[in-house]
Amino acid sequence: MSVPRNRLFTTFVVFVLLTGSAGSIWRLRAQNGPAPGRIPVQTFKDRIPAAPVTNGDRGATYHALEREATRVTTRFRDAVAVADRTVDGQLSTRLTDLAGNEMAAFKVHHVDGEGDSLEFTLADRPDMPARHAARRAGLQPTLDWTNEQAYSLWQDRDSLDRASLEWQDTLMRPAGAPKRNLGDAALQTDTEWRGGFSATVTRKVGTHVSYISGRQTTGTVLISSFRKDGVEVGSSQWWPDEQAFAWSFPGLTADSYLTAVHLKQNGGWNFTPDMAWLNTQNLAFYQFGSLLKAKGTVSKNRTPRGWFGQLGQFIAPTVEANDPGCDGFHWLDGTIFRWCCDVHDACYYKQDPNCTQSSWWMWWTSWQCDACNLDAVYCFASGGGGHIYQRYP
Amino acid sequence: MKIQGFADVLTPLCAGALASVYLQTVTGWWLNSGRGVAYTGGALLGLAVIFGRGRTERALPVRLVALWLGAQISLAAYLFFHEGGSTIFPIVIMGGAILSAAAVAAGGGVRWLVARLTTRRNG
Repeated sequence: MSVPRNRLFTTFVVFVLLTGSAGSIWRLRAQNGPAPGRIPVQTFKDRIPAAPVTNGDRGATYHALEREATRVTTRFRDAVAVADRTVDGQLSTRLTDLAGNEMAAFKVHHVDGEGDSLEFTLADRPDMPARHAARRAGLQPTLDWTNEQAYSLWQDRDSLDRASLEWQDTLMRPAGAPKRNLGDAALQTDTEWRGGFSATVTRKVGTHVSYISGRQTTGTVLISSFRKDGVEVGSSQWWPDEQAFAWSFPGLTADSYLTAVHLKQNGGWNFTPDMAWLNTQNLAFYQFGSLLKAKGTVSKNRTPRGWFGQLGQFIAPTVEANDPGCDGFHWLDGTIFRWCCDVHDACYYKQDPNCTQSSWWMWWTSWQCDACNLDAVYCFASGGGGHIYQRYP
Repeated sequence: MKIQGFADVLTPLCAGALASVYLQTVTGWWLNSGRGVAYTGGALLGLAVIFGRGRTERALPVRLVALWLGAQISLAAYLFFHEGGSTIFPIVIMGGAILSAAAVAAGGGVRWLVARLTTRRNG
């Protein structure tokens, strides 16, 4: 009674508009449904397992990033190895003593997609012909690997004339030689990429608050500093005793860490992070973080498309319920919550059959999916773990 | 009196719903980018300032809650029917609810503050 007529009219108009809007959305859903008469693709009941990751093959993404490196310098206790990649993809290492005197050379000649020819020569043994070998199947030659291989063969130099060679994991060794672990032999590794990017990883003993126990702990740590044109833009750390990897790239991705506990659903770390991996991972942080910062999302191109494009997107939307990062909350992709989402995605994928968003309300269908969801809620509620990156352990 | 209460609720509810769903067509799903959060949050703040105006102070929280509720309903519908949902949708909806509530509360607060200052100056 006391309501002015124009207010009632406005309310009516708004209601009509809202109803029309809801109707258009309903029609879109109908249009997006499967067309009658089409045969859906059947999925395999038994999922094809992912290819195993070994030290010789770390996957397509890793090797694509690694191939961008032009030079890797590895400093050992008694030698320095410098590996270069030519424009045509050939790899060569020059091994010198600490004074810079050449001791050995190792080359990878790319033959074809299936095989490479490996060549090793000793500088102080001109009488001994170069040793040639074929690359082991499945091994992806990298710059850091050529350095390690050159150093290992140089250490085996006295046995090379007497024995044939055999593969011990990723290293060529004289047949019957005892196992050698070069993982701890390198003291420092420098990686250079095109575009002014470089990274240096060093091994030291540091003290920090443990990611596992939460108490002050002293242990070995690999620290990698990533630079653009000589200026540090981020860093990362690998604590072998804790199996913990931590990183900080201000402005690109928030400080965070990852332990084997977080990767439990995937079986923990399925490879051993080393110096070269740290540097390459830093490049990945920079490249993907910059992409995210520039586009605002990793899922779709969100640049304005004009009213016609927006109309088209509204009529035929791109439906993506699951993509890397925080689905529907990509604003958080550059924050400490990002890994909550990634771990949740991995947890979903790990289940058989895969969990979906319907697992949230159809909770009785899979307790494993419920566990994934509860983990994600706990992760968000606890602020992504509440970790603080310690830059100088 | 009942009609007045109904209008007090329905108008901000529909305005919140329409404004929110329209802005998704401009920026894409709002929680996927800082721009989206700024646009939708800013619009809800502005609407809260507008709908904070009323004859009685008692109706202010009702209008603000209606505005926020309208936004939540339309945003949830948009998330499912247009974006295809999300594998963490309860967290997304909860996060969006908190952000939108903060924007609406801020707008209501601004309106309340302005009303108080005006009243003091006049009175």
